[in-house]
Amino acid sequence: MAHQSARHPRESGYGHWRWQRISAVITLILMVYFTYLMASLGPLNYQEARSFVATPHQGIALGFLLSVGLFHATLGVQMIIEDYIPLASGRLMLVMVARAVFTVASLAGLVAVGLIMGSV
Amino acid sequence: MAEFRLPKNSRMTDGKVHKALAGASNVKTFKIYRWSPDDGAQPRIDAFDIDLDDCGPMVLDALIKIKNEIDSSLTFRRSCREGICGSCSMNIDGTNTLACLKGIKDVKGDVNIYPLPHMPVVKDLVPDLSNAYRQLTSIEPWLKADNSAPKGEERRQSPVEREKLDGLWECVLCFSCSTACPSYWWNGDDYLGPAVLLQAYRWISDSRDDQKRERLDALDDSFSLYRCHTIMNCAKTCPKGLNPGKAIAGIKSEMGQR
Repeated sequence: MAHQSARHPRESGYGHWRWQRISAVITLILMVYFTYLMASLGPLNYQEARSFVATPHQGIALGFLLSVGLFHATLGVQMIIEDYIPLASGRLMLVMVARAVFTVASLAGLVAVGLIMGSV
Repeated sequence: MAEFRLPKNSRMTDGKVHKALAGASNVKTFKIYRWSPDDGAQPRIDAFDIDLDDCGPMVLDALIKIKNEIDSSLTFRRSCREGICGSCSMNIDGTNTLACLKGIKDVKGDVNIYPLPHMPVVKDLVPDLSNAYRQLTSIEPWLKADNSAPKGEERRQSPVEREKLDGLWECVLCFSCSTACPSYWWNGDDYLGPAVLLQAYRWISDSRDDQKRERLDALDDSFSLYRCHTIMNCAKTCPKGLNPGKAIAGIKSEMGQR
């Protein structure tokens, strides 16, 4: 079979497609938790909110939401870039930049949650 | 640099108007895209008034009448006149379809006819389908069996195995679907498009073919298959009533079962 484009790195389309859907379902479930978290934090002051997030099950769930949600965002943004940005306009570079930005954001979120959990 | 105007050779101008003969009572106007690479002029829209009392019922009948009786330079593809060859695919009344299957009376008002969208134009209503044919060739649309057929016998299928090909074998490769697909417009070089993917699934689904795994592996990159975002223009426009979107979903399902 000869139709694969030599202009693109050999990356499994199925892997991207599958993980996009798995992360979408997990994110959807975690958004229910996020709604509960927001409702719970609403009446609390700053210190009470920090204490609430610092409990192990809240911290782990929030970290999980950040990781999976931003992973899903990475896959989605990659899809948009591949759809709309021509190869000659720096498509591959933009995909790498998007991955780097979302990885840094995810790590920063996890560190922030960790600091909150460790400080209370 | 962003471009805010179409290039000059894509801007339409008003063309010639061919009035109906005196005495014609059942007149309909056909507005047809015209462009020739030979004269260097911009594309234009010519208007032809046709007496429907002296014309066949289909849009292709009107095109043939125009070519025979009014303007012999009008260029379009046609062959079978009954929806089997797929030659006369064009954009009629805003939808890609076959001119031989499109009834004139199904179009309200003037009949606007353009070539298939987003393809290079060879002349008038004839698009350059070289890329689409190259992509079709790339999926190797023929039976690939490890062993030759039993001597003197055909390769047999059960009725259930044969039924899996229904909705696939009927495609006449008119490329109405691919040229209606925004993903194909954006990434036509790398995305195979609904017509070719439907053909790919036709061979993936064939119980007599022994290269299913290889066919699926060949589609497993970012662009060949996975640019389909289930927009479903393909199924909406198919003049044969097929559903390439369903075939693409079938390939994705098979991918997960490898």
